[in-house]
Amino acid sequence: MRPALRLLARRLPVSALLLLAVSLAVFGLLALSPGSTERALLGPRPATAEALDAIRHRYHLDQPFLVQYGHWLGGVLRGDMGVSVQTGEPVAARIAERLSITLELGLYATLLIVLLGVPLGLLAAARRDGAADHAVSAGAVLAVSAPSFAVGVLLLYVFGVRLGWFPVFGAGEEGWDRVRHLTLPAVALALSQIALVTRQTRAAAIDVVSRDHLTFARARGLPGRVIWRRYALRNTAVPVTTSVGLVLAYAMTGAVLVEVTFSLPGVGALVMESVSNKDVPVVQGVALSAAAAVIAVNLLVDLAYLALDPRLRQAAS
Amino acid sequence: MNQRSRRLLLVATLSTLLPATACGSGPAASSGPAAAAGEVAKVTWAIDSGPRSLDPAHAYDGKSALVYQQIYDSLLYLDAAGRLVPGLATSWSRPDPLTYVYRIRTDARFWDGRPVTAQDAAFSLHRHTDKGVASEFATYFGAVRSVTATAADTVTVKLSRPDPYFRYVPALAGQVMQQAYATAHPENLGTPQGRTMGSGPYRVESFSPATGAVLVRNPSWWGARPAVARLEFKVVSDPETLRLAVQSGSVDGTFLSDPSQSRRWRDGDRLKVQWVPSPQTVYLSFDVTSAPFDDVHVRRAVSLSVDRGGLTAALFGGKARVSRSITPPESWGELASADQVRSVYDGLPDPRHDPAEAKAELARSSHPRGFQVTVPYPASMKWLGDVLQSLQQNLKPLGITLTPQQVPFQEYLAKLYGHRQLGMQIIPYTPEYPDPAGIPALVLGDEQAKSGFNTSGFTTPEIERLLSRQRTADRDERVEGVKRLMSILAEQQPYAPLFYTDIGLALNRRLVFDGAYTIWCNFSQQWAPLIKPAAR
Amino acid sequence: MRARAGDLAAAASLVTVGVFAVLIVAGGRLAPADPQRGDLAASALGPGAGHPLGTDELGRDILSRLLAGTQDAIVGPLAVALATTLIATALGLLAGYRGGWADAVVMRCADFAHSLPVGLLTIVVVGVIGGGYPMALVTLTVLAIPADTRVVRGVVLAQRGLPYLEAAQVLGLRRTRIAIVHLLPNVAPTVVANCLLTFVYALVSLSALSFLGLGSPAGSPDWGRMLFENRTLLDLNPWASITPALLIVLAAVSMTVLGDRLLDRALDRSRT
Repeated sequence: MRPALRLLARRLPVSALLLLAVSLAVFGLLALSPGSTERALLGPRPATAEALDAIRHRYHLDQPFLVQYGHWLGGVLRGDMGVSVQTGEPVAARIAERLSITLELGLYATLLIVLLGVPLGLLAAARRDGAADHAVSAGAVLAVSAPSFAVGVLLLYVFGVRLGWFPVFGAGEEGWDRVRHLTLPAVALALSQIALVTRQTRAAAIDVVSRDHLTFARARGLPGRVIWRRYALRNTAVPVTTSVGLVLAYAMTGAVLVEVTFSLPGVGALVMESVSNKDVPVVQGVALSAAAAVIAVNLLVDLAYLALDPRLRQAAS
Repeated sequence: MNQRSRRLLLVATLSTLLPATACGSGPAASSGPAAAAGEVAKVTWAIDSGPRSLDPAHAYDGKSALVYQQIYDSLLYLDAAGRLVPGLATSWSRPDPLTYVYRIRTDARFWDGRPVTAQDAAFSLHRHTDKGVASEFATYFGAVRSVTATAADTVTVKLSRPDPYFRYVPALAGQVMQQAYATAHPENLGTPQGRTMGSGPYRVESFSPATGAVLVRNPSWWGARPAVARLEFKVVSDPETLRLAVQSGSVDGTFLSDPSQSRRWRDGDRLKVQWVPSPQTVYLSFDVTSAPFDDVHVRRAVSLSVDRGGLTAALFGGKARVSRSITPPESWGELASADQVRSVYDGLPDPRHDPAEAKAELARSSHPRGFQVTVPYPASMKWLGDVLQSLQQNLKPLGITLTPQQVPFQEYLAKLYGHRQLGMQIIPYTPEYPDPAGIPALVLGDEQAKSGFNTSGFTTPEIERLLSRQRTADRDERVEGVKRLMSILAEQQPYAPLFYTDIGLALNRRLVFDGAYTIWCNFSQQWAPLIKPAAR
Repeated sequence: MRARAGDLAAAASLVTVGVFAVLIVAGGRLAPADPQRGDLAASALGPGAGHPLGTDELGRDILSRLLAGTQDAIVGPLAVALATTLIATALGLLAGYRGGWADAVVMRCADFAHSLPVGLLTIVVVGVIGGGYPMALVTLTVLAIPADTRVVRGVVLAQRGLPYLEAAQVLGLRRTRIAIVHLLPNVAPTVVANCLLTFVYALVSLSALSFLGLGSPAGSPDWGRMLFENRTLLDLNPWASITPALLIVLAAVSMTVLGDRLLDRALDRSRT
């Protein structure tokens, strides 16, 4: 476990600095942006000058930029991300409320990647140069670069409007209904990663199959199933982990497009809403959480590499 | 223009005058089948954005009011025709121009069983004048000097100057909350964490600005028992999701404020959709203090280039009326008779779409070869962008380059209130009380040009005089004053009126709305008790 | 062989890209109607006579708008791809060839950018600051540079130990001269292939921003914006949003296939 600890010791301080930089940058961006926070606080109707002053004072808007940032940062360090300008709710509560949909979507997409991408890749490798391989490879080529929102609209039309197999919009009720509602969005989100994992799995499996230790294993009389499970699968673990990590990390941000396409009330939709309402604390909170998620997942993926690939373990120590 | 749109234009122009006839009694809006006696266990009501807060002081917007009007008792209400009617206050009087006295009922109780006192009522009104509260209603209380409970059942409001619009304020911001509860929750009153304490027909079971609210019937409410036991507000922000949800029956009803949705909202097996004329007014604003819109010919040329009739048909499916004035006929309330109102609008010029005349006007202006202008519109109101895109095409032959610019809602708003280089703006406005001087008082005059809603910067000594006379004059003089203001506006065109857009009510057929549905429901009525089971 | 499927895809992509190229040049002229001029009386019609793909809400011809939009859809991303490639190649050469502190600085910056939620940042920057299309182009370029720099640096590193470079050094040529005259031609294939992939990234990102209502101006015949604005017409005229979606997918896929192919070749060549 020593290499893992060393990795953490090196990366954690850097990560903290990174988060600080991101938060400062976003705070600065929002301060520069047109639109006024006191307006957002007071609603669209005309307001008196006294009310504007009172609001400015209460939310420290009458103070210099760095002081405002200091207030915010102090709050965050105490575990308080502030309150939403739009609703007066704690920012953490607003994010938490939306997070479940986004996480469910991310997990669903991850499941699809693992359950479709890996078997398809193995199938293609096993039937190398057969019809199945060609079909899978061509499909992967098509899918890998298709943008999620465009695919989303197409899925929406074909499976939602024309065939009526899936609901068209929204997140539905908890349970089975939710699964049905999230199916098309999850496919749209996962499609390019499924294609990527399929390709990588295929390449890794072919690589393994052609290698000596597999010939040796076969010579030892191990059944084909065992060989595939023990060697091929293990070798594909690294690319699959990377993809899963990527999807989870970007579920919070990449899902913006998918959430907008399918009108899911997730974190992505919250970002769009808050940006348009100049809800600085919420945008800040989401940006910070998203950056933290990306950093954390990157770290976890690297740790997983260490666990999965002995060669990396050696290189690290 | 082809045959079809010309006919539609005609229909639309005629219908401009129709609501004026209905104005005295409120547009007849029967909801089809009669109501039956009986219970409805649960009604799910969709709103397109979340209620921001349960504290009216921090949630002065239509969506929040839809929810909080059901949980508080307000001193007064507006009926379907926009007349003041009793609420928690059983009677009210104005012994002199600076004093309003409200007699409140003594049988109302808060959800916790404590009686609603005059002190609670006085506190609730007075909050809006408190700087520390920073109420969104503060502008309406600008003339208020004091609010006091002068007897066990009497609240007296003293003004520092006459304010004819104050009479409507207790119907807009008259919600009464418990003083003890409010003072015990100074920081988070009205939030999901802090909640609130009211006395209305429903009480709050849960509330979230993101997902909505669950209200349950208050068994000890003083009024007639509402039929609906449980009212769940659900936020469905996407218009298509909303439509499918109501169509499928998973949501029972919703109010529709976006007229561009009307083509998609049709009656179904389970669904009845009803559109009614409303005083929501949409207009173009021209900054008369700087070029090129300081030239009245330029303003007229732009106004003549809007294909109002074609747009009402194409964008709104006819669910809008071409407007002759930024002041809608529905906003006359009790000031004038229907006939009077009709004759006022008959006297205004017809807003034509006339490219040749537009060209002639521009030739007469100081910018005969045209100019460039960028007009922002809020991203959440795509239909305003569509109006601008159509105008963009119509202005092109004149040499005027109009660029519609989609901006976030807050940026749009900040620009309007910023009063810098406003140029041309497109503005939808819903009057909050039925007084024809309300909109002119908001969009004209020097005071409003500095910090208010006068986005044109337009004023003249005569306008200042007319506006200040509105505060004190008697009824006949007020009507004459408004007429004069409207004709100055028609002549000078600092604002080009475009449409009055309809509002809609979509309701599951198992329910009926037992009353006339009008715009005043959204801000100033307890409408939830009007929802009844449909007769079979 | 795998090559067969790959060749087929590459050939199909080449044809598609060729068609797009024709449309860029002639798209506006091929349009049957004025892409901006609408007939309000013909609002949201389905496909029919005069409008092969129907009309949008303002009665504008969808086919004409798609054709007119080709140019915008391609030119913006092209600008991003070229600017990114230029800057990233310079930085990559500097980092890879000069090494030392230059390498350290450039690579730390690239690492930093790698751990940012890039998609979210683009949306926040363009959405919050405004600035529309030009701002979107700049933001995308800035955010694309680190990844491209990394690729170029990698190829340069692979070249560094090769005999021709050592020979040039022995001859005493100036370093900048070596980098530009000798090193650059050898990294060029990778750079070109990578440029194509950056182009796809920019195309997809720009239409994504337009889809969110950011980026391209309102009413412009941008594919992403058409997708966004006509999404509510799925029941009245589905083609108004399906066809731009198809075009975006088609453009992205065909360019990626070509880019991948070129990159594979370039990498193969640089290894041998």
